[in-house]
Amino acid sequence: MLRGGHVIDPANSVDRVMDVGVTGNRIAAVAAHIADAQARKLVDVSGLIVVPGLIDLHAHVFGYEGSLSPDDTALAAGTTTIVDAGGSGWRTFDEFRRSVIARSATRVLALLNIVGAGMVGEPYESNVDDMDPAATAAAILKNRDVIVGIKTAHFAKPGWSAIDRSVEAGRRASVFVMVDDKIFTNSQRTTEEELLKHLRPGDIHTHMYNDRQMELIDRFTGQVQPWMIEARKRGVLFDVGHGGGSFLWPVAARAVQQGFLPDTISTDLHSSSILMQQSDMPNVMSKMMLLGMSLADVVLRSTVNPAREIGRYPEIGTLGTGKIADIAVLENQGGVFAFKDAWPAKKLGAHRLDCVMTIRDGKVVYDRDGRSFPAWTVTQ
Amino acid sequence: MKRLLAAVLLVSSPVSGQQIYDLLLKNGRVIDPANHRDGPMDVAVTGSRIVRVAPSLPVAHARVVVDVSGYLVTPGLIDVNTHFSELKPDYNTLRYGVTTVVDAGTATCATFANFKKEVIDHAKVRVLASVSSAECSQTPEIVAGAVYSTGALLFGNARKTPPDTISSGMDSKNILLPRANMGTAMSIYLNLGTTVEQIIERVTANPARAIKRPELGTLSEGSVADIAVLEIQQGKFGFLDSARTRLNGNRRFRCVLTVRNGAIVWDSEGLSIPDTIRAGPYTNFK
Repeated sequence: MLRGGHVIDPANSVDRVMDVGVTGNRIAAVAAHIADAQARKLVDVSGLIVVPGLIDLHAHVFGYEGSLSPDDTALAAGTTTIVDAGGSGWRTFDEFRRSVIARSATRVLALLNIVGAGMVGEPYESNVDDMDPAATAAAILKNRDVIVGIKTAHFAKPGWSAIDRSVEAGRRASVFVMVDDKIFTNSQRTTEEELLKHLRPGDIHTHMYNDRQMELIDRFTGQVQPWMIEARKRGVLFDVGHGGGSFLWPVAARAVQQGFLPDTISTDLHSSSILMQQSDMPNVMSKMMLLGMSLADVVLRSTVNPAREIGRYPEIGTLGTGKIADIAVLENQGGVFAFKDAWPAKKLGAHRLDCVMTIRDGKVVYDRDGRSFPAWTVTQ
Repeated sequence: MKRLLAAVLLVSSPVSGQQIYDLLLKNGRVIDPANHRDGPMDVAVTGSRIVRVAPSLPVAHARVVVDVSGYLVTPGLIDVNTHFSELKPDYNTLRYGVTTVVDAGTATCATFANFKKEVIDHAKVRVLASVSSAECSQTPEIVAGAVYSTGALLFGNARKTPPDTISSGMDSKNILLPRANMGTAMSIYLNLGTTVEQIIERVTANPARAIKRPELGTLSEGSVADIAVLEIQQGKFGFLDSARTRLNGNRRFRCVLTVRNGAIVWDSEGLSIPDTIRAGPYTNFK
């Protein structure tokens, strides 16, 4: 039982000090007071924040050159569900499933790359001949328990083949497409046409605060592009996908100021982003708070929203009674902290979220200060 | 006359001893046990080498100046007991100031070529391998023979005598609980009464000697620029040992900046990059 934490569970409109009881691998109770006698193990989390296990919609734990292993990176950050964004394609998914998904304590889900070979660099990622909507859809339908969508990324040739074939595969398998596209000379495609004509409601554009990938902000007026707002009205969704190159303070600050908030907060976790910008989920959430978003709002966009988008709500993303006990305990630290972007420049902030404890499937899997363990004394 | 002038310039430049530094770490407390250095000094790096360690080096000679006042500047740490069969090396080392690791036993003679291709060649951190068989052909990456293995850290043993080397023993099973990493290991000894100087020696000069790589674990001028900038934080902290009991402590080591082979590979406080306010007008060109 977690005693006395500030529970933020947007799905159940909870935002106050509560006790959280876990029995086996399920949430048994969230109440103002649970008797000590009811608990086998009692952990004092007063002064800390208790939220549903974070869901990172965009990360890399297979295939991609900079991919990381999920447990040591995700669970230490309070992330209990991680979505690999296109590391594997239909040709390589079985290996991903066997070597990573099946062996991880973290719940690892996947967006299947439209490229059969997966995210393995050039020339493979721009090989249109290896973008097979039928084979991609078939692999998804066969692995629907862990594949939640499609990813298209890094397509470096002109035209719409990669995006249209992804959408076609998405139609066949009834899943969304996440797009990571680049602006380059003679691409013969525009973000405006992509968002308004090619993507469907429910499809996601990631790297939303990277103006090298999509011009969110008009560079002459400093305003959010009208067609971005139109795309959002159509139901296209926008994801942070922080990464090493995709979070820029001047872009994000202007967007947030004008109310263009992310539907989902995610990391694009990979080797260089985690080392150079420390951009795990608490870091990206802290950055959005530094731009003025509330704690409850960033929690919503890191739990409920991604759970909804991947079709797993309310199975995950909530602390509802009876749900699987995936819980993150966070600390809102006070001090002076540097938050870095891809410019690269830093913004100093006075608050930072840090993960103190992670519970996955009812078990304490990470405990920064050892507070769920007995104290050692010299006599031992 | 022109020719004469050129000759004078050629001669005069080495005599004056001036050099352009790519990176200058200013105002730190340098602890370099291999050279018996301990005090306020600057560390200058050019290319991948340490070129100067001395007080008050000129800021004007440096391309990048990082003010590390209030921090310790030590040789890049050496972790002689690690296991990278499943864990990825960089993520679990550079953030703790570790620039050299010895993987204890993941690779055998038979699998070493594959380990080199899959792990060593992809890592920024220097990965050395300890393989058990003596029949191995020596390659530069191999340290033959197991160098260190405590297997476990127990507070009851740790408080009696500090070992010759302090290492993490990290693997995929202990990385989250009890958080086996160099930050935890060093902080535990700090709270059990080992001095800062003793600890730094046991994660730099001592392990370098143990693995017979005396060129590592030092800030000697001319050596590879592997450097850790550490902070000793005050506060309330808890640390776990292998028996999963908690040591309450009031100090801990934290790494704020790591230099590996002359490049900044970890900079948690953004000490080497400007604030958005001072970064100039934003353009979308690098």
